[in-house]
Formats: sequence, structure tokens, C-alpha cells
Amino acid sequence: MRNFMLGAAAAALMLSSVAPAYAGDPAEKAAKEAAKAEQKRMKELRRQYGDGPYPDEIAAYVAQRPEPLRPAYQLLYTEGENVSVLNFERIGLAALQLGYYKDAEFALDQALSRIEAIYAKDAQAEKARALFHKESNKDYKGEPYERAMAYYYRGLLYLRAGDYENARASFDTAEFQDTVSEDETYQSDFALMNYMSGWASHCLGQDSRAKDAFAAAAKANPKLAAPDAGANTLFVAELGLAPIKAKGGAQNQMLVFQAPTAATENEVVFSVAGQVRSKAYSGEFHPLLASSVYEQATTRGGRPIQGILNGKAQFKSATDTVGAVSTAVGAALLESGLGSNNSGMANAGLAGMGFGLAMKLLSHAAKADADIRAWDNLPGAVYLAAARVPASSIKAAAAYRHDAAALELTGNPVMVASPDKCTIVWTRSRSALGITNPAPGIDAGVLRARAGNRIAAAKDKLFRTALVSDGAPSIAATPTALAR
Amino acid sequence: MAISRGIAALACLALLSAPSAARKSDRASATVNIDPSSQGPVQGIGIGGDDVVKMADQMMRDMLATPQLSNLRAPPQIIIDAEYFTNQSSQRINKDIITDRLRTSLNRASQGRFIFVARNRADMVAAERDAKRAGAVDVGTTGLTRAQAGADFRLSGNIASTEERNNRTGMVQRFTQITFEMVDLERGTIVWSNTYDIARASADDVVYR
Repeated sequence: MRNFMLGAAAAALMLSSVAPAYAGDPAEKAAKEAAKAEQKRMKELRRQYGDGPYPDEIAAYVAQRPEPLRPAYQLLYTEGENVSVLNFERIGLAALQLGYYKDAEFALDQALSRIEAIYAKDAQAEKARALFHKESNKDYKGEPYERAMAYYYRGLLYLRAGDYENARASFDTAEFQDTVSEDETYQSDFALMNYMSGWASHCLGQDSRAKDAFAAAAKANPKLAAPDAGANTLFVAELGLAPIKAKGGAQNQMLVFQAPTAATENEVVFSVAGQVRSKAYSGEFHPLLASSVYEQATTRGGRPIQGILNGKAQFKSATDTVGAVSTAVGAALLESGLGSNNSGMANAGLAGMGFGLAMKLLSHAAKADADIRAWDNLPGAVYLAAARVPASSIKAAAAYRHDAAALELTGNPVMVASPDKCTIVWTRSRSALGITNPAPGIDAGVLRARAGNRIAAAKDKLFRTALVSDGAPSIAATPTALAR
Repeated sequence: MAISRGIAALACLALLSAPSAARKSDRASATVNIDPSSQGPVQGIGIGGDDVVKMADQMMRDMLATPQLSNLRAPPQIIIDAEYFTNQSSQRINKDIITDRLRTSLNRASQGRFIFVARNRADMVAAERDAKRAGAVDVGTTGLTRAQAGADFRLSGNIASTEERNNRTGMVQRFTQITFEMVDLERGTIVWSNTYDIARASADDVVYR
């Protein structure tokens, strides 16, 4: 009893030495309670969203981005590394259209750094080859025409900034993407890139190199003549809609392209106004079709991965056929065995049906689907004209036609930049905005599986951390005013 | 018997096609510090950070060992910036990263044997000179000069590249040549030159070709 009393007294003493400090310091108490609440909140978030991203993180990241680009940035943040190139490309183009050039440069640099990375011994690439996984498990880099267009837009931004050397490097690399064509006829036939490279050399005053590039452009597209020596303005117009990717073949193993039919514009006219020595100047310029993006997409030839997908498709078909035959034969044997009281035959029938079911399951589990994730705000074709415009501080507007007939198509604002002796005028008939949904072809199942995969989820978490720490230009960046 | 063999073959195929287990290289990686002069974990076929460090070091040593530059009676005044350093390669690059590294390395190592003219900051110098002469600020401790320093030599250079692709193997190869030339700004002669070559090849995974 004495011991008990002593113990109770000691416990009371201990409590009294702690309790007053806790009770007497409200700030400490509040901090402890806040930490506890945060712990509870994180536990609940982890239960609900796994490793994230959590709603407050998404909101905080998106709030720092320019308002019209927020839905696109939200997709970038939430969809993770697997489709980051695609999301960066879509953001880059939308930001370019809106005049958020810092955002456009950031997004395209991010996309290109990933496109340029060599994926050797990469787990996701390995998964894309595996029988029971879809090709879209690989981190998206796009088809060669999409990669080329990413370089093209970066080159445009360099032209806008007057950095002609890096512009030329971008266009040259874009053109190099086209050398993967299986058919030599279509290798290096991206006249647009050759011409743009020539224009960058022209602006640098490197006439010999410009001449070579313009000659290469004319070889691919004879209508594209080299500009006059005095040309100081390049008009670039993007018309139409992006090629549509679809799955073909019995097991969806083929990547096929469809030409979009919703856009009919096939001519563009730029009207330019300005001043020449305090006198009003106006002029009209008619760009010519330089390259069709759809043609570039469709003339590539076979993809090396097609052999792997064909193998998967064969496996899928073979197991499906074996499964169907085994199930049918097994059912017949079972029926016959039961009818004739032949238990051996009935058991063989059951075994055949079981095997058939297993084959069917294997067939179902094999994933031969071609990757059809696509850069959907690309144009269908790019038109070019180079000319000497004597005026300074010009304003430009574009009108679109279909076979010389005017169209009720407003188009988008025109970017005019004269960083140096060369001026770039760029616009597009169709808007690159409205990125509120995931890009076409993105497989929600693949993204869900990534969230459940510890390694992939950790990579996506790192991706989000990098986005926040090295992130895009903040909301403070304002778009450059554009003329319509 | 034939059916059994078929089943076995299909089972084998399925097993062989099964995805392999995650490897060490699949794991996410936390940020690590790497030696700037060595190749990092991310490698491409173009000019990398380690190339910049190595080439600047190599050029610096070579310039210091060149009598036409380092054995002059008075220390030569040199401009090293990217103004006349051109990029004709197919790699997008910030050229300043090469010339800035070379200038700072050379400035430290030459210990007064070379004097560097900050022509790329001429506007900054001009503003201070104007302020001093206008009386907006006091004269510093080193006195006034008639004009900003002229230069005896200026670095020029070029980055050029050529690329090849083997469509059968997916191998891409790039040869990059970076040329450095020190030009005498009175006579127009080249008093020193050197090149740094990079030849790299790699193949992306077949799913990306």
C-alpha cells in the first residue's frame, strides 16, 4: 500500500511538472494541435489519393500560372511524367498563341529536353514492349512529325527573340527528325524546316548556308523559291487541324492516321499596314503551302515497334483461336461424355474447356494496342512567304480562303516581332487553346496503374516537385499584346 | 500429344513475354551533386556540362602555353565573349556558358599575364564614367582614363556539327567541333587556335525509333 502511495505521488509529480508548461504555453499547445491535425489530414489524403497529387497542391500550383493556361497546367501537374512531353507541347503552343512567350519557351524546352534524352534500359520503354502491357506505357515522345514540330515552335520563338543561330539549330534538328522515314523518297522532305533554317541563315547574313537550305527546301517542294536577297519579313501561317491518330488492324496493333475533315481553309492572305517615312504603307502577301503535317505523319513508313506489336497481336489472335477451339471441343466432349456416361470423356471435356478459358484469359491479357496519344493542337499545314516589307512597326491581319473563296474564319491574333533586321509574322487559322481535357489517346488505365506503382508514383512525385521548384514563369508574366 | 506440346509452347511464350521485375535503375532518384567535370547520369550526343568544363580547361592551358600570347612584354588586353563565337551546329546552346567559363578560368590562372576587357559590359562602364565626369558620383581610387580600354586580341570561334543516323539500328551519331581562334585586332592575324572535338553515338529504345 505504501509503495502504491509513493508511485501515485511520483506520477502526480511528473504530471504536474509537464501539465503546467503545456497549459501555460498556448502557442506550443496550438502548434502541437496543428501538427496533429496536419498529420491526420495527410493520413486522410494518403488514404484517398495515395502519393498525390493532393487537391491543395494542385490548386497552389495552378494558381501561379496564367489564367487561360491553368487547365492545361493542371493536366500537366496531375498526369505526371508519362505524358509530360505531350502536355508541355500543348502548353507551349497555346502559350505562343496567347503571347505568353516565357511560358512557351519554358514548356517547349522541357519537352525537347525529354525528347532528346536517350531512353536506354528504361523500365517504361521495356514495359511498352512487354506482352501484357500497352505501348502507351512508354513515356510519350511523339512520332517524328510531332517531335519535329516541337523543334519548329522552339525555332519560331528563337526567331522572335532574334536568336537566329539557335533558331537554325532548332529547325535543323526538326529536319533531322524526318530522316527516320523508311522510304528514302520521304527522308528529309520536310521543306518547311529546310526553309526556316535557310531563313535563319539569311537573317544571320550567311548567304551560302542559306542558299543550301533554300535549295533543299525547293527540292522537297519546288514551289518554295528562295527569297530575294533583300527580303526582311517572313510570313508564317498555320492552317487546318492536326492529323488524327487511330488504331487499325484486327487487334488494334496498327497506328493509322486520319486526315481531319472539319477544316477546309487552304489559302491565307496577310494584310500588312505600317509607316514608311511618315507615309502610310499597306501590302498583301500570299504564303504558299510549305509542308503538310498530315503528309509528314503518313509518309514515315513502318515504325520499328510495329514488329513487336504485330507479335503481340499474333499471340492475342492465336491464344484467342486456341481458346475458342478448346472450349468448343471441350464442351462437345463434356456433352458427349455426360450423354454416354463416359466419365473419362466428360473429364477430358472439362479439362479442354478449362484450357480454353485459360487461353481466352491470356488472349484478353495481352495488350497489342498501338499508342495513339497525339499532339492535338498542331495545325494541318504550314504556309510561308518571305518578302521585303519597307515599313517599320507593322501590323498584320490574316484572312483565310478555300479555293479562292473567302471563309468566315476569324483566325487567331497575329504575332509580329522585329527583334533585328528580320521580322517574323506568325498566326494560325485554328485555335490552340481550350486544353481542358487530356490529350486524345491518353489511356486513363495506364495513368491509374502508374499511380498504383510505387516506382512510377515516386517519379511522378519528383516530377511535380521539379515543376514547383524550377517551374514555369509565374502568373506575374504577362502576355505580349497581339494584333488581330 | 500435339495439343500438349502446343499448350507447353504457348505457356512458354506467355512466360517469356511476362514483364521483368523492376530493377535498380527503375527507381526514382533524389537530387544528387555531381562532379561538373565528369559525365552525369543524363547523357545525350551533344555538348554536355562536362565538355564545357573540360574544353575551357584545355583551351586555358593551351593559351597560357602559347608564347605569342603569354610572353609579350606588356600583358595583352584580351576580349573573350560570345560576340564572335558562332553556333552553326544543330544543338541549341547558350554560347555564353563556354566563353564565360574560358574567360574566368583564364583570368584566374593567368595571374596578371593577360588583362581582360569587359566589352560585353561596356554600357555599364560607360554609365559609371559618365556619372563620374558629370559629378554625380565621386572619382574612384584608380583615377580617370581618356577612354575605355582597347583590346589587342579577341576570341572568335565556331560550333559546328554533323549528324548521321542508321535507320536499321536506330543509332544516331553526332560529331561536334568547337573551334577557338584568338585574333590580333590590329593586324587581323590569328595568333592562337585550337579545336575541341566531340563524337558521340547512341540509340534510343526501339519503342521510340
